[in-house]
Amino acid sequence: MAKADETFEVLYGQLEEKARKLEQGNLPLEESLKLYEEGAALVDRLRTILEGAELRVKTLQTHLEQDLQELREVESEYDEAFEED
Amino acid sequence: MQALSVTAIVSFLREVLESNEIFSDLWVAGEVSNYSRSAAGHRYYSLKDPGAVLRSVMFNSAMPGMQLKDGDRVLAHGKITIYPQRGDLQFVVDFVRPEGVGILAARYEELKQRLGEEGLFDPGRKRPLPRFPRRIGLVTSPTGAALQDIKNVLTRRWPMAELVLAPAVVQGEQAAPTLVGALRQLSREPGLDVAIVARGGGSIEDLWGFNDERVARAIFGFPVPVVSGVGHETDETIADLVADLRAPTPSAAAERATPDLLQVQRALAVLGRAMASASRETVGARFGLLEGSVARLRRGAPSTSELARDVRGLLREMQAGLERRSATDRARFEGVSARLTGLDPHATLGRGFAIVQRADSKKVINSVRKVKPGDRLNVSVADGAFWTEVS
Repeated sequence: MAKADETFEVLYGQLEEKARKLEQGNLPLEESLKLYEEGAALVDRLRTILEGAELRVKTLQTHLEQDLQELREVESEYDEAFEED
Repeated sequence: MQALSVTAIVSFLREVLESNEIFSDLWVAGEVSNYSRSAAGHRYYSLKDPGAVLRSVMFNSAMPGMQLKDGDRVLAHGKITIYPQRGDLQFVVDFVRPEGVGILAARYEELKQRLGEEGLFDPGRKRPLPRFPRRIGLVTSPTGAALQDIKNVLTRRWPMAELVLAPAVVQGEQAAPTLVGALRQLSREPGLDVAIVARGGGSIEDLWGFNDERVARAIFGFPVPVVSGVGHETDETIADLVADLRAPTPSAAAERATPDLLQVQRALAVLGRAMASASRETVGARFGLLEGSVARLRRGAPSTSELARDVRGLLREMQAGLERRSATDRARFEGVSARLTGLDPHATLGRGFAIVQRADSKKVINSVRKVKPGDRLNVSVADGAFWTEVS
């Protein structure tokens, strides 16, 4: 599991931010090279995360039976109240 | 035994009737007779069948335009009370439909009108979906085709996610309480980003659980955005209306709730390329600047020309190295997105532009001729998206 601050969304956001800064230009050479380095590393990491992904499925234990029992009780009350013949 | 006053016993009976859940939310089928309309717009009539008569009233605020006439066969919704001044049992009607539409359609219309007036369907309260969902909740049958369809879509489109299934009965009248229970349980799951409520196609009776007020309120109160995918394209359930986004089918719901892996990979390639070219430009600009200085140096002081040549050679080397490296990077990125040549769309959004799409079909709107008042639109801006309505 990725750490909370290293989710795909967070890393992708960092990449966008670096790209935005770079495209705005007017940066010292050293800083733009640093941004580029970091951005390229982020691209690699994000691509690795995507390539390794596999859908996970978790099934919750619900109270289907309990819910249905409650429903049956409500319905029988309703039926009694409206018993015709 | 003590004698009660008339007021006391009539008030007591009235209280008993009005506090009863069944009598205060009731559908009655019958024939209209003795219909009259007062100057204030109240409509008084009797509902009758061969065995009995029920005095009824629709006050002026209830369906103001609705006119009835003697002999109409109707389904009426309202509550039973007592009119103390006359001691009459009275059916206060707030919604009436011709009997021919059937009780399910009438109930659907009554609920739709009432929840609509309450604001449960307001476009303004629809929440934007997360861009990269990690945990996706799903309420559906554990044995239905919808679950398999959704798994297939997620595996193909966004396998990054974890699907959290809260099983429910999705068939007929039994469905509502289990849907509510599943939603409630799912709402307690930590870290959920979005939820899908889904069921495959069926008759109006089959889909009935999704037209239940309790289900509608559970969706409305759900802590994260809900995407509905119930039935086929043509079925519009109350659950669809209250959901943050309505998709026509379970598969479509899974598609709306997730980004497309391929597109994300392409976007990554575009971002990488944009960065490479931006950093090349920076280096190029510096190089030009330095070259100018070197030229000036050479003109002003011939003795430094050797030094200048060295500096220029070094700079050339440096640029060539950078070009080589960005070319390698670029080749790697372009392998993923050979077809994409445009700019990163998010950079465009950052300058204040927006992408406007139809809320239902996601078609991009590029002309005023493609919208009409009342259309719901999705507007994507730099840091997210929201819904709006054309007026």
